[in-house]
Amino acid sequence: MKTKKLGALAVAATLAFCLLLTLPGAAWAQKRGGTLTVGLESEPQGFDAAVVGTGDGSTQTVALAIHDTLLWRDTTQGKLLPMVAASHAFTEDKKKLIFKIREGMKFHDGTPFTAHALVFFWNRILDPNSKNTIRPFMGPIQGVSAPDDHTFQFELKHPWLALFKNLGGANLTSAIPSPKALESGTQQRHPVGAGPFRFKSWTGGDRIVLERNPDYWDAEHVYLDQVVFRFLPDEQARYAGLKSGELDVIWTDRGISIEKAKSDPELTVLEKEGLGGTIYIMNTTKPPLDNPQVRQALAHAFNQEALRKVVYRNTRPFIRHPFGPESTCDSHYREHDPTRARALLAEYGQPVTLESLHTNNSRGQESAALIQQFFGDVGVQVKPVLFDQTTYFKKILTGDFVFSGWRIGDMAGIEPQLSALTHSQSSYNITRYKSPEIDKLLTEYRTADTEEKSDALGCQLIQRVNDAATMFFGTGNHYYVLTRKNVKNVQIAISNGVIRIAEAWKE
Amino acid sequence: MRFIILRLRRLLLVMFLVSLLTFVLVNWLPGDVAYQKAGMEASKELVQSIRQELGLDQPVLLRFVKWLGAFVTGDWGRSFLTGEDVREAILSRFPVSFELMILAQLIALGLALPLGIISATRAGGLADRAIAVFAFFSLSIPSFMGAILLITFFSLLLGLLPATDYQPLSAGLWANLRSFILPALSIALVEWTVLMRVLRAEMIGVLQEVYILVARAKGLPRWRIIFFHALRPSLFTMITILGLQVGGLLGGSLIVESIFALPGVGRLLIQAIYSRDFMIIQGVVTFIALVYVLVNFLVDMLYAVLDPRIRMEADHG
Repeated sequence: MKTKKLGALAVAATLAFCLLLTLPGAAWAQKRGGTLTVGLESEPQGFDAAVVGTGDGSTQTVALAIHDTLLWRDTTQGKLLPMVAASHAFTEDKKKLIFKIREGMKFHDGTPFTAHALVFFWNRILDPNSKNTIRPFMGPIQGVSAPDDHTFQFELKHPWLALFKNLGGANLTSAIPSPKALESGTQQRHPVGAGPFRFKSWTGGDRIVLERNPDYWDAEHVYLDQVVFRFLPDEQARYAGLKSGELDVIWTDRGISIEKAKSDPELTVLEKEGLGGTIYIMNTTKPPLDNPQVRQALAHAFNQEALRKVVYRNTRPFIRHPFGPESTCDSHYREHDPTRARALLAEYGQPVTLESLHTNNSRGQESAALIQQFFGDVGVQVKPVLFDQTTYFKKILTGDFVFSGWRIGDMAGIEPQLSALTHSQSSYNITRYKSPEIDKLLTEYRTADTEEKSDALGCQLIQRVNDAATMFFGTGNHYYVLTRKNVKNVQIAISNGVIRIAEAWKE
Repeated sequence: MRFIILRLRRLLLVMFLVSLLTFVLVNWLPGDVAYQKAGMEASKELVQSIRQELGLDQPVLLRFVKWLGAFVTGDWGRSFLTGEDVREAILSRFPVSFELMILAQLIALGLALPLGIISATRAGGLADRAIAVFAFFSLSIPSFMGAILLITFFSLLLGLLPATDYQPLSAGLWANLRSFILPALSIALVEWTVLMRVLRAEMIGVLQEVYILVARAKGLPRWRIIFFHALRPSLFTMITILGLQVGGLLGGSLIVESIFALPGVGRLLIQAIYSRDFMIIQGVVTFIALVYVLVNFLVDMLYAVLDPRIRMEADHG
C-alpha cells in the first residue's frame, strides 16, 4: 500500500515536472542583473532617421534597445503587439490609423512621451527637405496629427496596409526618439529614446554601452543591468570572442560558423526566416536583355539550388517569391531548366554575350563565378565585372549595367518596395521595365483594404514579373544569431535579422 | 639650429604635398559617398541633393583649399556618413594605435637587440644559425596568420589572454595590457627579424674596425667592447628602419586591429575607404603623414645626437 502511494507520488511529481518544462522559458527562469555583450558586424551609422535613413542591421539592433516602438511584431507568431501604443484602430474607410498612446511614459531625458513627440518625429521624416531614404516610400501618408496628448493618427490618401505592417518593424522610422534630442542635434551620436535601456557611452570604433532604464513602462520584463555592443567587422574575431566567452551574442551569416555552432555544446543557434531576398535584375533597355526570350532563357538557366549550396552552404532558403515562408503564392517562378533555356536562345537565334555586375567582396566573386557557369552551360558568354559597393550602387541606380545581383529588403509590408521596383514612373525601377498592366495592378495592390486582397494582388504582381522575366530570385533571407548557452530570450526581429535583447537575461 | 630649421621646412613641404595628393587621389577613386549615404533604394534626386549638401558638386581644388584652411585652424571636418567630428574620431583612436605600435616595437626590440648581438658576436656559429632559422620561420608567418594562431592557442585553448576584449587604460593597467599582448606580439613577430638582421649585419662590420681591435689589444672585457664601443655605431640603420616601421604601423596595422577588435586608426581608415568617406580618409592620411614625418624628424635628430659629424655638416652647410 505504502509502495503504491509512493509510486503515485513519483508519477505526480514527474508529471508536475514535465508540465513545468512545457511552460515558456520566459515564464519561470529569469535572472536579474548582469551585463550582456553583443558582437555586431559594424558600427552604427547614427540614430537620427533624418540623417541615416532606416539604418543598417547593427544600427537597428542598438536603436531597438534604446527606443520604443508603437507596435512590435511578435517574433514567433508574427502578430503585432502593443508597445507605446496601448491600442490602435482604423477608421471605417481605412484612411485614418489611430493609436492610443500609453500614459505616464517619459523619454530618458525626462521629457514626457506624448503623441506630440510622435507628430514631431514623423513630420521630420515626411519633410520634403529630409534626406531620409524612406520618405519616397511614404507617399500615401497625407499627414500626421495629435488630437490630444495621448492620441496619434496617420491621415492617409487611401487605405494603405503596408504602413501598419511596417510600424511593428525594427528600422529607425519605428524607433521613436526624444524631440529635445532631435532639436538639439544630439540624437545622431547621443541617442535618447524611451526604451528599455538608456544610452551611457559610445567609444568610436569600439563599443556602445547602455544601462537599464528603471522608468521603462515594462521595466518588470527588463532583466539585464547593462548591455555592451561591440563592433567587430571580422567574423572570425566575433566567433572567437563568442567561443572565449568575451561576447555573449553575435550576428553571423557565415555558413561555416553556423555549422560549427550547431555542433558546439557551449553555443545556441537562433534563426529566423525573413521576407524579401536576393534577386538578379536585368536592364530591359539594353541589348540583349531588351529581348524577353533572352531574359526568360537566363531565368531558366539560373540554378538557385546550386547557389544556395555553394555560396550560402544551405543557410538560406529556396524562394519563388518574396512573401516569406507563410505565403502560398504560385508565382510563375521559372524553374531551373537548361533545356528550355537553350530552346529559348535558339528561338532568339543570335549569340548572347553580356556583362554581369557584382560587388568585389567574396560573396560577389562567388556569385559572379556561378552566374558565369550557369549561363555558360546554356551557351551565353558572361564577362563578370566587379566593383566596390559605392561604385556598384551608382552603376545600378544610374542604369549603367546589363545584368546584376540586387536584393528586395526584408519588410513585413513589402508592397512599397515592390511598387518602387516595378512601377513605370518610379526612379527606383532599376530594370527599366515599363508595363501599363503592372502599373494598374500596383495601384490596386497599394490601395487594397484587406489582407486577402493585398496578398492576392501582390502574388499577381510577382506572376507578371516572372512572366516578363525582368528579374529572378536568388535566395531568401534567413538570419542567424549565435549565443552562449547561458544567454536566454534573445529574439531575432521578423525584419532584417535585427537582434532584440530587451527581455534577455543570463543564467 | 640650422639643421633643425632645414628639417622643419622639409617637413612642412611634405605635409602639404601629402594632403594635396591624398585629396586629389581620393576624389579620383571610383564610387561616390552620396550613393553610399543614400542607400540601396535611393532616387537620383536624393543622391543629387546629398551631393550638394556635402559640397561634392564643387571643383576638387576649391574643396581642397577650403579643407586646408579649416584644417590648419583645427576644424578637420565631419564624416560624410555619420557626422562624427573627424578630429575627435582620429584623436580618440590614436592612443590605441600608438600603444599597439609602442608595445609591438618594444617586444620587437626586446627580441632583436639581444638576439642580434648574439648572432653578430657568434657569426656562423650554432647560435647564429639557430637564431636565423627562428627569424625566418617567424618572418614567414604573416601577421594575420600569426594573430589567428595566437588567438587559437592563448585564448581558445589556454584561456590565458583575451581574443577580442579591448580594454582602455581607464579599466586598469593590467586589463589594458592584457588586451594588447597578443596583437602586439603578432606584429612584433614579423618586425623583430628585420631589426635583428640589420643589427647583426652592421655589428659584424663594426666588430672588424681597427678601433675594436685596439680595444681588444688594450684588454678591455668583451662585454664592454660590445656594449660601449660596437653597439652604438651599429644602431644607425636599425633606428632608420625603426622610424619607418613606426610610421607604417600607425596606419598599417589595420588587419591586426580588425582581428583583435582594437578601435585604432587603421580600422577607421579601412572602413572609411570602403565607404568612400572622403573627410575621414583625408583626415587620417594627413594625420598619419604628420606623425610619420615627425617620427622621422626625431630619427634625424637622433642621428645628430649619435654622430656629431652629421650635426656639424648641417651647421656648416
